[in-house]
Amino acid sequence: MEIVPTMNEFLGDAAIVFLSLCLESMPFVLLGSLLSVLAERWLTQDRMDRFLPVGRFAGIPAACTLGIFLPLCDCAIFPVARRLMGKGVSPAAVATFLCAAPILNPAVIASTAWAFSGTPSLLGGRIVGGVLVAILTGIVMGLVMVRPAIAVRPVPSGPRRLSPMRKAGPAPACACGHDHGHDHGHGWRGFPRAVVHEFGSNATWVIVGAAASALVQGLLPRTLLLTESGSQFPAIVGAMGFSWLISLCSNADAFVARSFLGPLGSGAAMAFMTFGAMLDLKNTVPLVALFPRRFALAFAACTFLGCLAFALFFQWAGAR
Amino acid sequence: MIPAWLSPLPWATLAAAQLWLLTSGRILSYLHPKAVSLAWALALFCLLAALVELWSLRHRRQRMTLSVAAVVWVLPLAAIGFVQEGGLSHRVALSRGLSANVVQTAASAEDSAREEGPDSLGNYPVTEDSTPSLAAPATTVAPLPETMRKELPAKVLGRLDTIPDADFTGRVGRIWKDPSGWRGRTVILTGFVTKDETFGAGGFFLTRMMLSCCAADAMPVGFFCQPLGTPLPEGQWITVVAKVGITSAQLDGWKETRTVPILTILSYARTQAPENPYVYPFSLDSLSP
Repeated sequence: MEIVPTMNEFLGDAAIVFLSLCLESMPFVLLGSLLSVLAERWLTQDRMDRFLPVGRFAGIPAACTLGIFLPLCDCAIFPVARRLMGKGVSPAAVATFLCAAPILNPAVIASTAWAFSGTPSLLGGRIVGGVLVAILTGIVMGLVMVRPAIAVRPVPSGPRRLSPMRKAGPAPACACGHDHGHDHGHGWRGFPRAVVHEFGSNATWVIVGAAASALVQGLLPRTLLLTESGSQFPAIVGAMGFSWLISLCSNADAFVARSFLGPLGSGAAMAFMTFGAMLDLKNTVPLVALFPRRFALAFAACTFLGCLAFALFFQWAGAR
Repeated sequence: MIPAWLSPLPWATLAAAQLWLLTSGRILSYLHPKAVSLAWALALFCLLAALVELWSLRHRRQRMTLSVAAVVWVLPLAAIGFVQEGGLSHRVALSRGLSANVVQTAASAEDSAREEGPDSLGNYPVTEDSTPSLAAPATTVAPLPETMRKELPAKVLGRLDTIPDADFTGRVGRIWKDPSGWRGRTVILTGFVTKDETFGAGGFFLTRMMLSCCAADAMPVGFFCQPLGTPLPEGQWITVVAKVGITSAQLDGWKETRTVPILTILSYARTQAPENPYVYPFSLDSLSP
């Protein structure tokens, strides 16, 4: 198969994919930014202690179930997670939240159930796999990130927790992403401007990620990654690489995963749905830009290995 | 350093661009109809953000620093200029896995056992109909051009099964699920030509891109077609009246061949790309009140 697009066709297709990724994800980035600013102003020490217990691993179960109550997809997660980390929530809980929320999201569960209406094992596998990988990632992050991880730029106002996790954290600056040393104002008066700047800060990196994804999709045929081979391992790794590159919303990825359920097997479909929901190119850019580098690297490694292991297990269990 | 009064401008420009996409209907080149309300919300937010920035100028210094990140915001505006009519091209259909070795185009495939079709191109979860008819409400299919009407015998014209855009995937899905059951039926549908050497000499795939959420997840759906006397250029939109047949094909990545539908075109007419080039994995009729 020869695919050599002319420059006009290539740019035309890349522009459509890029704009569609932006238009589709931005409302959710806005929602995440809104929740982030609300969390900054509403989450007091008492409230945080009630919902997310202090301790290296204590917040993992709560963070895992938070996704059920916060209907956020992967685009909306990272502003909230970034804010939680800035407030002193442990990296383990934040990583668990980042992994679990895009999969336990009710809309994602519904779309997966619809796409795999004839094969409920895929739906169950996605939920169970997502939770297992989230918990595993949380535990590993708790072990790896023993030192405070707050290099994110949290918030100028609002209470911070006094847990051992963030004693040595650098002094927080404004979370709007601008190094202009201003304050958006306390209380509700500065709320609109804080939301605008929070959104601007987060959306910038999503745009960069979407542009990278659109260009790569235009250059790289899907068949290069998703080609059947005798072994399941390359098919699963290929599906994970493909899901990372194309950066689909977790609300819609099940429909695409279904298209290679037959050719590549259930393990590849599962890998596509679990890993793609947790990490993709569009969200890796803000993850690296807005979170501590060490956190981003450890998170990417944990999710990749966790999803790979679960997909291999799922394929093996399905074949028996 | 740039004047501080420029700070509302990016937000206002983004709001204007989105409002243009929304009011002109071009937003459907990028998004699923169900997501359009979210795009309205985003446009409204950008407008409000411009007002917030304008309001905050009271406390702002005369000049401000232009960060590198701000340049990124020009990208979506620039991208609009590159978008071509007709949505994603036939090359995207190929790069999204539209490849199949059509190994047998003879009618002898009739004896093949009825198998479930491949999990792509046409086989999607569809609402099962008790009556296997496609002729029910045709909403947005292109009207049959006069030239085609003259070419076709009255017997064919009287038994046309319409595959409208509004329920394209549902109806195509039913044919892929039971190709033998639909053998001999005559259908009318619109799509664009996608060619690949694996489709056999002169063969092509009458393609529509199915969009689940946004154009990034678009997948090709449609039918293989027997070669035409006069080859059509790739990417050409056509409305066809065609007879459903069956063939065996080995889709990309499949180990074995399976029975799939193939169209023998009785008549066709070149058309422009529809205003909304995409189809969706459920009937748009079901969204109507």
